[in-house]
Amino acid sequence: MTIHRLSRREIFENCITRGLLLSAIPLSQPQLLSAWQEEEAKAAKPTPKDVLGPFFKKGAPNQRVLHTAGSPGFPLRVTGKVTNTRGEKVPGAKIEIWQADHAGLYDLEGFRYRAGLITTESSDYAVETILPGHYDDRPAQHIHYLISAPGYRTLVTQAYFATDPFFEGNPDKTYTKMAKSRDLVRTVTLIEAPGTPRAAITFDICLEKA
Amino acid sequence: MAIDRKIPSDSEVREVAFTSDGAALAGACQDRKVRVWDLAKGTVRQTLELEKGDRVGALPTGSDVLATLTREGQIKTWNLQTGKVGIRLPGATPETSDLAISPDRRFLVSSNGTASNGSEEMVRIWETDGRQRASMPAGIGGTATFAISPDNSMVVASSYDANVRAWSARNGELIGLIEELPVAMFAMTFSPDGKLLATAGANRIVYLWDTGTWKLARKFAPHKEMISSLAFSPDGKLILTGGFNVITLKHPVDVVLHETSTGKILRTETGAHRVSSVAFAPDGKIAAFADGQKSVSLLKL
Repeated sequence: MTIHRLSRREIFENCITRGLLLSAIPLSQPQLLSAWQEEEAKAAKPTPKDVLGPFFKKGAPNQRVLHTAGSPGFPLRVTGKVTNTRGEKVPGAKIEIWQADHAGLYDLEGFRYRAGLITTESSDYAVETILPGHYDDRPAQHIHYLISAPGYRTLVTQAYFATDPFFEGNPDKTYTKMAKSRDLVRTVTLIEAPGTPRAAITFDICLEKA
Repeated sequence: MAIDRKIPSDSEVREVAFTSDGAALAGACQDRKVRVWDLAKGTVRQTLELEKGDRVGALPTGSDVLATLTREGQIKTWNLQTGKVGIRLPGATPETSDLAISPDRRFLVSSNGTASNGSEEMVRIWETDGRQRASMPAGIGGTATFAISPDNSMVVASSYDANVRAWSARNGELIGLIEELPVAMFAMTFSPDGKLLATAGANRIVYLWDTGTWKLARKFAPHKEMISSLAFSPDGKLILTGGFNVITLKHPVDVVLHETSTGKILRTETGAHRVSSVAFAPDGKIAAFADGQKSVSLLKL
């Protein structure tokens, strides 16, 4: 038996015909379909790539807390999830994270500010770290990512911070000075932690099938 | 000790190479000119002016050859003695950032350097008539540096994913994989007899690998800084390394002369924040380094 796979358009039309999709928007059916597909495509866009850089180190431990007690720097929480371009969770993905310390130095001897995380069933991840420091060669704060999962294209990218003075308070215009995509420059939220404020960003990762 | 002599340059020098007769020194400069200085007089005897958008791909010491890349990715070779263009190859891609020329001048190797994405990078071997002999997957994140063995039989590349791969230059077959390095190697070269491959980089250590087994032969005690350049003396007995400080562009770094057999430090000099190139004269009596300053530093050995 041949299984006929319905196109997105056919599913959409069936849903409207059978009353499964009700529109409260004054748009024609083709307009609705294209708007729907546009939104779907937006949600499924793979995370933009960026350079790996020279300071990747193999064998980082699966650790959630990247700083040590009392280490200088503004506390930062990074959270996110790993999905594919269809919006499905990707459990078991390996997320390698590395960043400079508050002074702009990478730890090449040990694994300070480095982690090799494995996503759980929920495909979420979270790390407690500090805002990375600046250094002359690449003067915008950034966190490096190398994400791999069986069946997916390995992703190399970086997260940047919209609050970084480097972006002059206007990353929409200035992101091109460093980041490969505006999407990689993340909004920073200040959150209340016991006693002290801390910064937080979300960095969701969307992988493409290999 | 101090630098024995400095040859002034009108523009910052990034790479240096001695000519085959050892009478002159070529320097690839920031202003897109390659200057060839007469060593006895200290004056410029030849200036090769690159076209707009062209950049230096390879300047191997003792070979009298310069290879440049056009913006479109074409490869050109130049004769340092005459200043004339030799061959032009159409083959490379606009992303090509680095080249090597085989010692016998029968082939060239190209890589994409720092890659902008997570796909597997390719190292390619080109015939001098422009045909591609082989293309080899060379890891994630780009190629930091590569080298060709003195007998022209092997090509090695160091990837930013911290692996070093060795291929047969004849057909591109993978013949060695060094996976035990924790970090990327920024400088790499074969010993003159081809038996050792020296690598050094982000973790400040010089590693010597047996090119028969691709096992570690020995390693030296760490430098003060990361290492960005490395050369063997013509007799293989000495290794010169240049330091690299990424954090502040004002911090001076060490230039270190080692004994190959023991790793013992014989001499330490000072360069600016990044010593991008080191080279020995063909007779082994002088070494030179470039550190992005308006001069080339010479060491009498």
